[in-house]
Amino acid sequence: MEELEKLIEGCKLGKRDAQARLYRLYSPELFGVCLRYSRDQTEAEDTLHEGFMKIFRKIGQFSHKGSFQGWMTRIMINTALGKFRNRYKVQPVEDISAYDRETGENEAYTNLDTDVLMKLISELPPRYRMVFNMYAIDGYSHSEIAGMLEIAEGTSKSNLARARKILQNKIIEMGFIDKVYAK
Amino acid sequence: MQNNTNKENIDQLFRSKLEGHKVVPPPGIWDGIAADMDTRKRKKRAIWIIAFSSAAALLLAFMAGWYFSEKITETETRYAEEIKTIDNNNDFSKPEKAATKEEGIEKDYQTNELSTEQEPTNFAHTLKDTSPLPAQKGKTTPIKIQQIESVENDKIKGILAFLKPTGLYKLKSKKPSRELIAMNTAGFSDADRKIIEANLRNMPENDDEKNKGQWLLGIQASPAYRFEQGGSGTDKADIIYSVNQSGATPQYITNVTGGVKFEYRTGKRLAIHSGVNYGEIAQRNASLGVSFTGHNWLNENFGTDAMYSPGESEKNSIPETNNTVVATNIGLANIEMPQGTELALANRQNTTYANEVTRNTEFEQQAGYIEVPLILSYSIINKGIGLYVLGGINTNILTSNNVELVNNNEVIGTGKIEGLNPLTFSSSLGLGLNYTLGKRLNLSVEPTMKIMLNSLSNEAIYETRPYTVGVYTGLSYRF
Repeated sequence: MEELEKLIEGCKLGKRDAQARLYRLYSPELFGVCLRYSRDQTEAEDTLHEGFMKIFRKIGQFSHKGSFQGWMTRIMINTALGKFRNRYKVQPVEDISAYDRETGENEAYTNLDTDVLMKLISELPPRYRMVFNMYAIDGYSHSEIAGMLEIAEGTSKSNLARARKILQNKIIEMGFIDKVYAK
Repeated sequence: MQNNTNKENIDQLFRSKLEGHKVVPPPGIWDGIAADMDTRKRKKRAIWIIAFSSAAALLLAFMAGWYFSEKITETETRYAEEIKTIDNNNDFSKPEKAATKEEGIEKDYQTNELSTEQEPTNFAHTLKDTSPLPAQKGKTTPIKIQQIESVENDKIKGILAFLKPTGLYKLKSKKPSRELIAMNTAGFSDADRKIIEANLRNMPENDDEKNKGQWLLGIQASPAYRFEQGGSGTDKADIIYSVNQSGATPQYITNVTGGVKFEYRTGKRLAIHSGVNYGEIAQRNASLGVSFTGHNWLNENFGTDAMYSPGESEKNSIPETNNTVVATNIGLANIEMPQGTELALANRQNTTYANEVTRNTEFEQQAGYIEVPLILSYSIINKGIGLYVLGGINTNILTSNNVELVNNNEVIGTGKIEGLNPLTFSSSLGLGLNYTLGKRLNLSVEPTMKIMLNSLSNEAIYETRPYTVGVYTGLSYRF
């Protein structure tokens, strides 16, 4: 823990080796977050890049009161949401049917649980993906989501319900449902 | 229920598998981040460099200003000279003739330092009343300046700074105060302190004032030459009588404007001034014709000529009380004419009717304004004669409004201009020269141009924004 504090202090001073170490330590988990909130790998990489820039820029504001990892995760999520909001302004109409298509191919899932689930999430319509990630995985409440995405609370709830439905259908289609529930 | 369980299961499934899920990002990302951080650093550094350079340039400019504008005065060197006298009396090693004034002071001082070590009491006494000491021969040894330099160098520099009250120490403290200097004398010898005290006593009293803001109160006046900006509204108003129909162009009357002004100088460069001025915008139109044959004169004589004959509505606007409305450059003038007279604005050379009309009537209109300026000036040169640029906004409050018809120096009709804006604004732009007369008086001459920002008239068809050129001459008192 003390070591982390030293690392944070180093980053606050703008030391490049401290920044590099911090990146090595936390980028895998944060990249996982970015992937969940992104449409594809490229977008996730962009988010990670932008998010880390923000982390290094704002690290002076971190007060050691909460979890540092939580703080970084929130920055990543906010970065992803910012990208989503910008994109959503330009493309307000979503072709939901495009996401309802069959997954089709029966890929050989070696690491089925996580990879498949990540893929399913990435295939959700963008706003459903945001709401589902925030609510189901990152533990935000509907009112928080409504505030962050600038939507009504009811919209958040209905988006979540739609997202669940889509995910559930796909899992059933793929024949994994029993396996998943059995676990 | 089953549904609920499913929902929770879905959430649970994803949460358990994906919370904290790690994926190592591709290797190139860190390089990108590091490169971006470098760019940011460079940008930040560039901003700092620019900011620092600007600050340094400003500081240099200020220092140069100080250096060139302030000379070492007699008062500042006097003590060094007195010391020189003492040295000679004491028959110390003869100070060499200094090549420059400052060098002279320094060398005198160094000599002095040694003498005080030997005779501190006498020296202090000498400084108090500056009468020369009786000769005390044989008490000294020749002095080598280099020896003292090594020991006393810092101290001498310090003293020199105090000896030159308008010089070096100013750079150390923005607000030099006697107290501050007095406090800083710790570490000097008694004799040093005496010298510093003596210098402090003789420090120019107004030294502080030079750096602080100054208030000036004065009077100023200027002839006001007014010109029309482009076209006026007169021609648009041909539905009624217009002064232009008389053939003569209305002329602005050049008059005098002036008032009191107060000025606050924030420092060496910037000053802000305001005040209260009175000015009149006046127009005269000479050679108007007035018929004394009654108000139907125009109709009768010009018949159906629409240009010179009032239409139906105008006829109605010439009521029995014999008020006449005339369009002028400034606005609509409403004049109460004497009974039995009529304005004859037509300028047609019609010999048939010429005798019936006297054409030597002057039509004068005047709008008086109280002007409250808010002017900022920036000094360019400030050496004996000062040169500055000025600019600002004037608020003009309408205070009087008169129209007169004058015939052979007799006012035959009076009235008002209708629809004048009670509040108008003008911008000022000018150059200024000032010259200090004695200690407190200040003479200034400011050629200035003022442009009306809004129309004098609030009626849209009279878009009249004259500009004024004047040379404001003022006398002010500094306190």
